Amino acid sequence: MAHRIESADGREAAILWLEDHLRWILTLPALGLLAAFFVYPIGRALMLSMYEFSTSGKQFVGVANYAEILTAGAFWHSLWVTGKFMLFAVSFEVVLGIGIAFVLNGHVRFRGLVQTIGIVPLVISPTVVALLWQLMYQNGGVMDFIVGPLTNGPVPWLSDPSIALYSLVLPDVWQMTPLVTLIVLAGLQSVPDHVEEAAMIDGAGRIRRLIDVTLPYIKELIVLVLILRVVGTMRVFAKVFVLTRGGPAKSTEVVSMAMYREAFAYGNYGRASTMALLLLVIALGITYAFARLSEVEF
Amino acid sequence: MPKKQTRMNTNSQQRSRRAFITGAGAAGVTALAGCVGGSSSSNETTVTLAVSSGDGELIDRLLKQYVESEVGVTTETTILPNANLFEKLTTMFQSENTTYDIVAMDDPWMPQLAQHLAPIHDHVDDLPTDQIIDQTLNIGTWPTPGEAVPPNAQGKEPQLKGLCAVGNSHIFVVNERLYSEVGADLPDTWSDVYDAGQKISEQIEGSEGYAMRGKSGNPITSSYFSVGMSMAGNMFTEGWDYDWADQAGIDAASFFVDDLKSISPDGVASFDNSQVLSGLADGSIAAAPQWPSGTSLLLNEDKATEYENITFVPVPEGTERAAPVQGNWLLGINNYISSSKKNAAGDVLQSFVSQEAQEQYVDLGGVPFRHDTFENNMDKQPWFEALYGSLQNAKPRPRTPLWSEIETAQGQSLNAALVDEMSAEEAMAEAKSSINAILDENDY
Repeated sequence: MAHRIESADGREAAILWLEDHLRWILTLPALGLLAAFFVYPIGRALMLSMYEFSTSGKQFVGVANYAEILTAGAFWHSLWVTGKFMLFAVSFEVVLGIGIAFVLNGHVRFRGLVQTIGIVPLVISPTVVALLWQLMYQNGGVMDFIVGPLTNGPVPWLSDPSIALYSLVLPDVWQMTPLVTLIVLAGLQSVPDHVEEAAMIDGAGRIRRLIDVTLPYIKELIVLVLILRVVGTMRVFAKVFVLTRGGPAKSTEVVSMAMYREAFAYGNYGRASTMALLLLVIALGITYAFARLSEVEF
Repeated sequence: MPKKQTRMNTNSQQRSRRAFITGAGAAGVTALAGCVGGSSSSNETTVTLAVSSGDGELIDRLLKQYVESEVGVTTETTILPNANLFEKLTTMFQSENTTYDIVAMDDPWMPQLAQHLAPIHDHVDDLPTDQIIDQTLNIGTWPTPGEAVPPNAQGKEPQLKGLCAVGNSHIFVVNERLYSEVGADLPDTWSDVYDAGQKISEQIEGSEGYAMRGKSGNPITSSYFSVGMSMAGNMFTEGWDYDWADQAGIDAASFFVDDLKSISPDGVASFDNSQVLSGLADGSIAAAPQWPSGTSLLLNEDKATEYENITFVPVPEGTERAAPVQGNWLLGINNYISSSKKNAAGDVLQSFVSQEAQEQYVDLGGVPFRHDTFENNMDKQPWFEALYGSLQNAKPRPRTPLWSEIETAQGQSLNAALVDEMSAEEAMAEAKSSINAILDENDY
């Protein structure tokens, strides 16, 4: 009898313990995945960044890689190029994407079809996009045909240092604008009709309604899409690798190109990891700044 | 009775549980041994190889078709993409791993990997050195005879560490129709290329006389190497001083970024091999250097409209000499495997480079590196004669583990000159400065 009571108490205690800890137990798989695919790689990169790699092995160098990279002009140059790419690509993508989203949010015929077609660039690998644009940029190619009436002959899309970076921006804008459109359109469609109608009854014009009603509703989404694209453009690699390899005259030498070379051409995973972590810190800084400035909480 | 039965049941459950645990433990240990042991547990009749895709597939076919039965071993070949192979080998060697007994290497990897490779002569008894083209033996020798030696290899006795498996060297592709239209002979020198190219660019609508791979980094350096080496001599002195910033070096660079560019298509500064090949194939480019692998497209009537007009000659001579860039794939023996495994790997290599094997290798589409294989099979490929000529004058890229960094620096400067951001003289001065900085940083 006493044994049965003890057993019942034990079972109850176990159930209570389980109830108390269930949220943690259920979270464990997700935490495990997070640790495996997020914390571990960052920790590993941090560790690698403290080493110098050579053919005979690796040697602990502490923060020497950070000091070396931060004092070298090459890193700052590639950061500057990445920044320019980011500025132009994100600006065009966001402005165009929001514009298209507003148009599609109106009464457009075949909206579903347009949306479906718009997704196509998004699902193509960046390498394939770059190869497609390489064909379009070749002498006498589609791009020369399009701008033909404005120019005197073939445009050196990828071989003129003053143009090459913008020639990389175009494929990125082509590919990623639909992402902005889709996200913003989803936000626009969630704006309740009655709020718009109430504003209209109160005499608010189209611009006033946009500023005071629509934009506040989709502000979070715009900030989110900005952050996604800023981080995305900071990591641009495949298009640069396929189209220019950082040239001509280092005009498209983005950070990820320099990182790739350090790791896979020179075998110096330490310096490559250092660059990756520096880029991560910058991306985090920009994300934080966006969130603070826009007073948005995710 | 019930009590006894319960005890029996319990005993039986315990036995089966024990049996399960024992069985599972044994299976686990066996599996673990399989994981940890890797190739070291395989017997000496199995030789494992890591090769790159492309030529590696031909190597594997030859091993299966001929070498295995000749030597009496089984070969297990892992075919990896080029970049993955390098990464895999460096990681493997740093941990003194024995997964692969024989490894394939692109020749610029030799300075990094030589220290992990066994001397070939210790495990191959009878190497036909009289038949293997000297340049391909030299490039597999570490330190490489006649080349500047990096600090970590100075004072070491040269030893053969890699045997040639693919006798690659640049050959020169010429469109004979375009050349004959302007009354030009096939070129022997770079001046001939320029002279004929000028006429073609001026006289034939839609065609240019030449094209280089002008894209920054490796492509442009690879494309320039044969010009620089043939006009300005070696890139480095024996003491690792960059030697292409003198007048001869500036003249060579100027010839490349000014003269040859003037007979190249617009936008050549962004060209890589695919654009050059496609221009050669459709006749918009009259001449360019190529690796032998490019010939398969140029001779394919479905893909190259000019396939009947394409011909191949050795890479032209410069003012000093002919110096086609050499790009051999080598096979080396992992130094960390057991002696018996090294001997088995040596037997495989000996059979692989034998005359009989190489005759079959050519039939499979392989690129030869033996005198007798070339001589007996000259008519098998229209580019064999050109390759044979080029290979005997071929020059390796500088033998240093820093080559990737150096070629990037050189390529960035050349590319800047090609797009008129700086003069040839400024480009060579910039290349010298950045390359010397790389060398200084590494105690050269």
